[in-house]
Amino acid sequence: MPATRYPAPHPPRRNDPSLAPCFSLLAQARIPRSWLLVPAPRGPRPAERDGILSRVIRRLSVLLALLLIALPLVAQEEEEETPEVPRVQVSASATLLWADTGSSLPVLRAAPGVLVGLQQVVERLGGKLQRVEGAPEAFVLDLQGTRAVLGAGSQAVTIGQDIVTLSQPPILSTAGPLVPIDLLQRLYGDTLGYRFEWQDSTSTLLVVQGTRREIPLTVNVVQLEELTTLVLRFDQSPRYRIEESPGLVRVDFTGDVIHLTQTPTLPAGSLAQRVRVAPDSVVIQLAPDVRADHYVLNDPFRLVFDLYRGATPSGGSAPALTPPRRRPGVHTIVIDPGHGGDETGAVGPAGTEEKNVTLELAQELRQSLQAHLPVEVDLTRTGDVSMPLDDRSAFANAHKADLFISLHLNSTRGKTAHGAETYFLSLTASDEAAAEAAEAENASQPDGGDPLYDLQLMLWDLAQSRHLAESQRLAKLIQAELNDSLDLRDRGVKQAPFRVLKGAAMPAVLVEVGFINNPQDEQRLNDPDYRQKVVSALVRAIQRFSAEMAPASPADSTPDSADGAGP
Amino acid sequence: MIQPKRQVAALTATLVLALLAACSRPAGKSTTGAAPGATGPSAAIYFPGTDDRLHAETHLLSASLTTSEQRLKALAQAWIDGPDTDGLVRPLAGVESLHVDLSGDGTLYVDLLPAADATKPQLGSSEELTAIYSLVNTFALNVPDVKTVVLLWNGTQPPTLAGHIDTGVPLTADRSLVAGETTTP
Repeated sequence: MPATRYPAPHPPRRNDPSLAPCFSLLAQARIPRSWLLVPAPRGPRPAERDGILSRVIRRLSVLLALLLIALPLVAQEEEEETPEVPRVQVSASATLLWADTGSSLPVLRAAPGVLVGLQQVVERLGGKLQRVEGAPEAFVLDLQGTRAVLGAGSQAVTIGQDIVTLSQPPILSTAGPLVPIDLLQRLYGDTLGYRFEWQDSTSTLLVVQGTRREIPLTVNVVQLEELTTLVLRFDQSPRYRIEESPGLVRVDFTGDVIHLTQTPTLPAGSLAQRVRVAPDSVVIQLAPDVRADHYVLNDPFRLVFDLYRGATPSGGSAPALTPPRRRPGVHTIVIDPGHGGDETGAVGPAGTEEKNVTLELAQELRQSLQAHLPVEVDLTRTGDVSMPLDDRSAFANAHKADLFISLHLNSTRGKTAHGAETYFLSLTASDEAAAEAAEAENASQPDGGDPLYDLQLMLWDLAQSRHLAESQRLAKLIQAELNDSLDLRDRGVKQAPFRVLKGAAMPAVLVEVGFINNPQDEQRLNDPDYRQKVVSALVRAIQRFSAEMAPASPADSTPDSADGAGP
Repeated sequence: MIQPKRQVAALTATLVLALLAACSRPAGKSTTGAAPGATGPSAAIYFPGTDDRLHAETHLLSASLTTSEQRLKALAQAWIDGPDTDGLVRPLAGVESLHVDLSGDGTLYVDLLPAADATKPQLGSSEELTAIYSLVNTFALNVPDVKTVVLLWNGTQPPTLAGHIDTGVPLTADRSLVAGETTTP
């Protein structure tokens, strides 16, 4: 019978209080509950037909009455399981103007801006909007492979992998979800290149098909030991989406057209098997068991992919892998005593040569570091020999150093400057110009370029730039410790384009320990006790930095405890 | 005895003459190639001070210097001649002359030609930094055609001049080193 077979999300629960009125009514009508099931015809005799018919009609009429009562109650129970979300009544309507055609668009002016009907926009511009099952205030919008999840009352929405904060939260209305226009811009602008313009005077939302930018792309691939670094360099920031799947990394450009300036050459041993560039995508095919991490560098905009091979697990699912080049914490430190050999460096008024003081300091620092930290310490030079600057950073790279510290003594034209200064690298516009010039020169070579030249370019362009924040942090710690220990006026942390720091692929600083042209500083720097203070300050700073870089665990040192363990 | 009115008139005349004299004094010196009475635009030659900052010393260029090349040579000579202002110094004493060559892409090659017996300068990093940008700023900030500056030492591009600052790349002007400008790492 229909009364017992109507569709319901769940079987009626007889113990459910919400259904109590229904069963109570059945009891009052003295109707057995078994009537609610249709009995099988038993082949009544003709003499009984009239009586049976009248009883069936009576039962049906009772059941009909029960249905009229019970249906709303059960419907109410359904609604209680999926609670109704308050909806704002929308009376105002604007015009959605796109492709010279206008259509009605619900609109609500709610400070600080305007909210418009998402469903109506989707119907015009494309996409699929659905409610989230079990969460009536949440919606999912699928648009050309990008999924956005938004919720009424929440300013945070997810668009693909990104979490975006809207200018104001969406709300639910009687005309469907209403959203701020910046959400539309983010969704349709980034995906399809549309531009949205709200014209308040005419209550019109104008949708303009934005021009598709043609963005030049340069692809550089460098193999450094077991790491392949692939750099996509753009003249402008593109709209893009990255999808990673086993063996494949795909970058889709939405709303822009990519123009490849030169065909990329894969170096020997590259962990990228193939790089395919199309106007709307770049696909990187990875070698087996290779994983990819990516990050962004700006000015100019670059997408950088580090490709590395992970250990194949003996069984089960793949473990989380990390690039092999950096271990957490500080394990190896390279100290660079400035100058040497023919290059004496600055000379003090009493004849003290910078190269000798830096070497003494470096040796004392190595001894102290090894006494206080479980680290390996290497010096770029241990005697009075000249060494090209590029070889010094190459030495640090070859030793897989976690820190590179170059020691120098400063000299100025004034005689009164004193104290210490700590520098980290500044990458100036000239570095970009150099990189561009090098790229142009490289591109002009008929064989696509010298891999070693590529490597140098990459080192110059990227090596220190990815460690600048850590270098700055280390510089600040060193400067603070030197100021405190030596009771110096703070000359501050500075940046300069030091050649010796450029190729270092790890946090790197240059410390000007004192001013050798200042007679007082010169005298101090020749005093072993004063140098020991300098060394102790450097060790404490490195301890603090090491503690900050160490993986977090209860057993690890904290910066404060490292302070306490200092020399 | 001088009357009070005459005293006032004499004082006024003295002040006016002093004011006129002050206004007619040239703001700097004429550089090489300047024709008497025919000065053109001024140029700032950047010299380091004892405060490790660059200071602009204003020079008047001859109106006859019409091309970038002519102006670059005049600037080079002014830099070699050194500063007139007390407290400013000539940054690379061993350099006797500069040879400048501007290429079509805006790269200016500045060849530092030292005396025959001169060795490469032994400087602290602050001295080296201001010496380099003394040259770069002087050329790049006065001649719009100069986009970048490549420094050469006796015909060869060195990685550094004195072991610190990278000169292996084309350099662009850096105003942050000029006195009065601020820089924050």
